[in-house]
Amino acid sequence: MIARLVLRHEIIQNLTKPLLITVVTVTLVLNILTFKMAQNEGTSLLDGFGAVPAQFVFLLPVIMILLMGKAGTRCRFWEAGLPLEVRKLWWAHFLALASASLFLILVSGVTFAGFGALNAAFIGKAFFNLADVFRLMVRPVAVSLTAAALVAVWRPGVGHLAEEPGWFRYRTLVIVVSVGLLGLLVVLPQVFLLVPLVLIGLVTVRSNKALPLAMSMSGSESPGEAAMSPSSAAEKWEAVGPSRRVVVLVLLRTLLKWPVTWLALVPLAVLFGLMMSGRDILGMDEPYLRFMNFFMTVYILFALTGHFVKNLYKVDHLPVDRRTLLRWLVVPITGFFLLGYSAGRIMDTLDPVTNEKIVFDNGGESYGLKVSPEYFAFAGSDETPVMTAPWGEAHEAPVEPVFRGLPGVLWKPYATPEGSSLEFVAWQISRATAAVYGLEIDPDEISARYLKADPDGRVNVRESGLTLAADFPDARHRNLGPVFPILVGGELFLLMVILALYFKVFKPGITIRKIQVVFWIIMGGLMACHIGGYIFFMLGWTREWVVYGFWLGRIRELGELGPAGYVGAWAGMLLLVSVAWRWAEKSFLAAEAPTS
Amino acid sequence: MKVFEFDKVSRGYGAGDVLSRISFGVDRGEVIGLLGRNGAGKTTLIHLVMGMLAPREGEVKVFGLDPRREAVEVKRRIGYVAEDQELPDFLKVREVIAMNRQLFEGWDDSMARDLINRFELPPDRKIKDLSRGQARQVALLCAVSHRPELLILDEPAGGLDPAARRQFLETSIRLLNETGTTILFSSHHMGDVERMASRLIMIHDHQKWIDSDLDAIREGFSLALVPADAGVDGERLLSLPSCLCARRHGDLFHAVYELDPDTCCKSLRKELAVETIQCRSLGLEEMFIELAGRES
Repeated sequence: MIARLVLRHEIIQNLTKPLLITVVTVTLVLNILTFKMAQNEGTSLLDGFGAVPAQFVFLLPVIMILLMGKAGTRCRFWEAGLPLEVRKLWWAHFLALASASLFLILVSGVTFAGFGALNAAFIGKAFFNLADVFRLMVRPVAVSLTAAALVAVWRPGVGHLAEEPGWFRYRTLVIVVSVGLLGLLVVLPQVFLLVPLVLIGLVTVRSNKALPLAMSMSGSESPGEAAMSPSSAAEKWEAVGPSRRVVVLVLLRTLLKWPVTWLALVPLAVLFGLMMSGRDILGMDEPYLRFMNFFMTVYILFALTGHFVKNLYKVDHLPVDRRTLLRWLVVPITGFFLLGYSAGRIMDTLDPVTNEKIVFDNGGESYGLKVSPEYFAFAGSDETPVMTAPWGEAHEAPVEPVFRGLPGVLWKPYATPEGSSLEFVAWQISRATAAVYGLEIDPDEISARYLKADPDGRVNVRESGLTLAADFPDARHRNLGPVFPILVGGELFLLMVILALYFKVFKPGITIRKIQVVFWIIMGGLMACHIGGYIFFMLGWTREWVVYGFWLGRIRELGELGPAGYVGAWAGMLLLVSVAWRWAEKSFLAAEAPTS
Repeated sequence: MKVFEFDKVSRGYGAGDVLSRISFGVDRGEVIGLLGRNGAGKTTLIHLVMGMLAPREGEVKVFGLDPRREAVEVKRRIGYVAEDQELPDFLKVREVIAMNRQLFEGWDDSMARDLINRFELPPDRKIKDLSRGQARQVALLCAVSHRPELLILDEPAGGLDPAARRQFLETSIRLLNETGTTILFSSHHMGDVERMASRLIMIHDHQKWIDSDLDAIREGFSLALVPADAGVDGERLLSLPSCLCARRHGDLFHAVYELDPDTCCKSLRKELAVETIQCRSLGLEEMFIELAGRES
């Protein structure tokens, strides 16, 4: 009987939102952790810095369940009306809370293990295997059971905890205690895991002793009792006139139903905005992230808009323009994303990255002049381009296919292959300096300041290195072109197209359940695109720097056209996004609110 | 101009139609009672008027406008209360009222204040803390206080006790119908319909089964009781003019005719040559059960 009650408990029936947030966040953190591990040449998550944050990631489901998982409902009216002992209802709530937390921890664990398996299969680095994941989960599991027990002990004879005064404070306390307990368990020896287990036992015994004969459903039991007398109602009544904006905010909140979900995901939108700006975040000086997280950004933005449209029926009878509703659904979250992007750009302006964009590598296989991939050129055919100096010295340029099996290569116009003369290298550095820093430096000056010929005739840089940015204060990274309209415009365009298609699902006879299925299919598709990119990299079908160089190089070339390039990019982006917006709007106007 | 008008409107949710080629119009000041079994299409019809659904075929006009294209304009002139309507439960009563005041032009503060007092609503209590009846009263207050031209009540009193239901419906009628507001309401309570409606529309088998003034229904329909052993079957009864339905109840066939009892009796006795046939008028509830309860 208790098992049936657990399965039908509101906590179990409302796992969708916590699951959504858990999956998104765990995937994001895993992206970052594996990236850092790869950067730092790490071998195992458990040996490195990642073990502590990874364990806190496992705690996230517990927090999600407490915040939005109906943890405050011990039992509903109909359950309280069943001929069941209070003890069974109490256990059902406790077990539902514990098993929901454990389920989400397990989902996180599966995601971890999946990432680990992918890493092992494709890049040969098993940063975490099943045993690692299991070890990471032990402490969060203990904490989640403690949290469930702490909730269970609070007013054990009350059905609607969420309607009790003090619930909000107590729930916050449980979250703080859980985080603190995990912090302690992480630094203490494993034997201390017994402490929460003993605590759970004590709490269970104490609560069972304190159970009343019947579950109290007070709080919403007799709401009409305190109705005021007509005279006092008249005295209290004052017509207030909120602005129309406030009204729309109320409608928006009605659509969001439980705004905590939305608010919990807002920081992710800001974070992805920061990432898209190209700003070095979380210590990851990795510009490729801009392009690698294209689909993940759309995933986040769609999650924060599409998920809530199913509640349209709640406001559909009111005289509010659907266009207004759509604006309020999309614009705020897009605003948060753009806020992150703007913050990244402002940080870049105030604290510009001054690293050298032109370096000379003396190493064996990677010998030669190196510039950022955005300065690589694109050739539509597979023919190897030739770099020819004015005096006739010519070398074949190194090439890399944009995508294996398809025509088109990215080639390095400033390369200095083995056998290049000192003049050729100086000429190439001079050209690269003009392209990257906008500085015209005579090849002879470059040759005299930076280059030397080794006894074996190989050209090399002097011991002081190639320090162009440091030596020439006027050397500034040139503008990369209209990145914002193309990158962000592309994301907004894709978001609006997806929304337009999604709204088409809101047709006669559609139920909320079917809409949720479609929502998750779209989310899965976007996630597949995101993960697919990584798989292509791992399989070697393309490379991060090629994708980055291909796109940013073309954007940079557009910027080199001058104002026409920028105007064209902005106009094109505005046109595309506005056309997609109109399409989404049209779909939304035709959408019918789903039935439950 | 009609307040709203259906012209050969069909609408369904899957392959079949819930409403099929329904046509009728409603004039200003009419109080329409909408009857039909569960799933007959009453709420679908109401949602079509509200512009919340689009017709599959045919045309719906409300105040001469297309309620889908001119959704805001149409909804501003309508008051709407439904059984499953959700008010923002995180708001206080006064905040919900203030929000509706902002949304609807022509809001009548004195009427809202009067209703708050009459219903004894607590302005500072959140919607989620109200009883079901109180929440319904807040919804009604919001629906009527902008003095709508059309008030739509979709099972508005479902779940309310008889006293609360009567207070609810009578308030609606008194407040609005005297000022010429048209009212369209659906209900399973025949007593409510008989007390309130001036015209009745019954939907059955995807069609408009009855569309008539209530008085005409009381006087113009009759129930014929035909002995089953008289050698007449249901098909024969149905084949006669003005027969709406016929089915067997034990030893008798029950048939509803759109005729007054005297005329019906004379006509049937003559047509079927059965002298034991009895005819009588029937109440609304009885007629609903006879019509809607038949095997279709």
